[in-house]
Amino acid sequence: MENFISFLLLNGKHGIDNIYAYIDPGLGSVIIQVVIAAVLGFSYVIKANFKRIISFFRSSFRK
Amino acid sequence: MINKIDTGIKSSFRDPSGFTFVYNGLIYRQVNLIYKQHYDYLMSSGLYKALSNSGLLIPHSENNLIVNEPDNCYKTIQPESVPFISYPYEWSFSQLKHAALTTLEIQRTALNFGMTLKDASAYNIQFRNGKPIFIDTLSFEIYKEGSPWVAYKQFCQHFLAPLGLMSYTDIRLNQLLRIYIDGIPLDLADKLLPFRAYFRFSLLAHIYLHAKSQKHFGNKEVDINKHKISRLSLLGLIDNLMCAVKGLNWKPKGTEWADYYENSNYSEEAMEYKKQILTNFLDKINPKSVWDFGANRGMFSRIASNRGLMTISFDADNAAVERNYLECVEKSETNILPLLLDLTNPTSAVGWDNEERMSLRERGPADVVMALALVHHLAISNNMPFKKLAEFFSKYGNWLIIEFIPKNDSNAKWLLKTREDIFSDYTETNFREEFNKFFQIVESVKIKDSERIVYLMKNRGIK
Repeated sequence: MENFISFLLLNGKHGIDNIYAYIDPGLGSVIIQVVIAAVLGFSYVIKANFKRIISFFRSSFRK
Repeated sequence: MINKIDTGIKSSFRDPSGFTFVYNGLIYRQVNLIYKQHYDYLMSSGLYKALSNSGLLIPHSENNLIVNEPDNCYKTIQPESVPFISYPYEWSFSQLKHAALTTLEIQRTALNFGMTLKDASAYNIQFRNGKPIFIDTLSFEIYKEGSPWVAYKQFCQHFLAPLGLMSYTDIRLNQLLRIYIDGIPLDLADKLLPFRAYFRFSLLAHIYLHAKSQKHFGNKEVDINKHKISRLSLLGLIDNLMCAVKGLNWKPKGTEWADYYENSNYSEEAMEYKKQILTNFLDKINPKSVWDFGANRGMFSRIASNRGLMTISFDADNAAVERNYLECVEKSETNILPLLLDLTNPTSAVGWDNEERMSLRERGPADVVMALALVHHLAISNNMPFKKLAEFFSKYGNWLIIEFIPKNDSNAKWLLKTREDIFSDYTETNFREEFNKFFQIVESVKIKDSERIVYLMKNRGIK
């Protein structure tokens, strides 16, 4: 489990220590958020660029 | 400069960025020095303008003549007023849903302007002009690439869990928000949700897996500060939460109360006459604020609100309040706020030191209280003596418009059908006698084609 999470949590400088947070984000909540967001980020890119992707494939096939 | 004003609002103390206070009857918010960088960025980035112009964030003006704590003060702002403070446990399903979507829309907009919400409390939303609006100007902070959303857990507890429970388990579970001031614990929501709820990915992820993760990492040491989450992933998370909230629904089915008007024993003529009586009484007293107790779907509340009077339309039935609210949305009504309220157990003060969230009485009194077709339910179904009712209403309104329904009315008879009639005191004479101790009876009019009488009374407590 921890190895899988480490794979999804990219190393970097900015974690929650940089946030002026007055509420406790909760360790378990942050970890699951990062895991879910990693999965959803991919689908969000497709969703946000759906028209662009479709038009790219259409123009490719026309050629 | 006016300083050292010690009238802080009891709900404003958790966030060190600032606090609200009252001065000369107006609400101000102090921005503390510690929040300077974030406040300046909110105002200069264009986020404040974008949110306030779109009606998502309460507009404010700066007023640096009034300072509460000079040593700690960066600025004092004066937000526009909200006519009535309401709480999530008083909202219907769609009110909570719209409040959740407003919070997410604000977070999405904030991310686009390089900021993020540092809290996602349902108490930061109020209803103004018929729409949800975010009232905590100091909830924004500068977004740093890689940071997770610190308010994710709070959003799930305050919005997603109660909406999921109301939609999948029982609409009445919104009352858990009265007990759990920081939202419904996710492990509890997980226990109460049926298995079929988890066929929906968003509930599986944000409630079930979330609760399991909280439990799993509850006593573990993981250095989360080394890790980051991309902005795109964060937008994906917000987008998914929006889809989750939009996908949750609850249909107000035909409960006894939601269909009350259809099943009413009034003739059409009597109903119209009752509306006319109400209009005449309102003309006579010219109130500014109206509280309609037992308002059902708000037919009579609208007599007041359509005249431009700010009207709070209370009812104990979730379906009635939901249908009332949806009508407000459909007609873009701005002067009426439907709220959930059990009169036999009115909203109490809750939170820290029982002062954080106000009781109903603390939010009054209203200029006029309306109690139409209500007394027989309280007196017969709930065994409330007239004396108690009169005393109660005298604490909530300067004027009272109240309908007396005699025992020979078919609705009163129906209430007595399944129980012994122990209400020998339930007579109009006793009603008048007991109410006369707290109110001056100004006028009474019998409704045509009915045995019912509508009274206009003036609170004897008014000077």
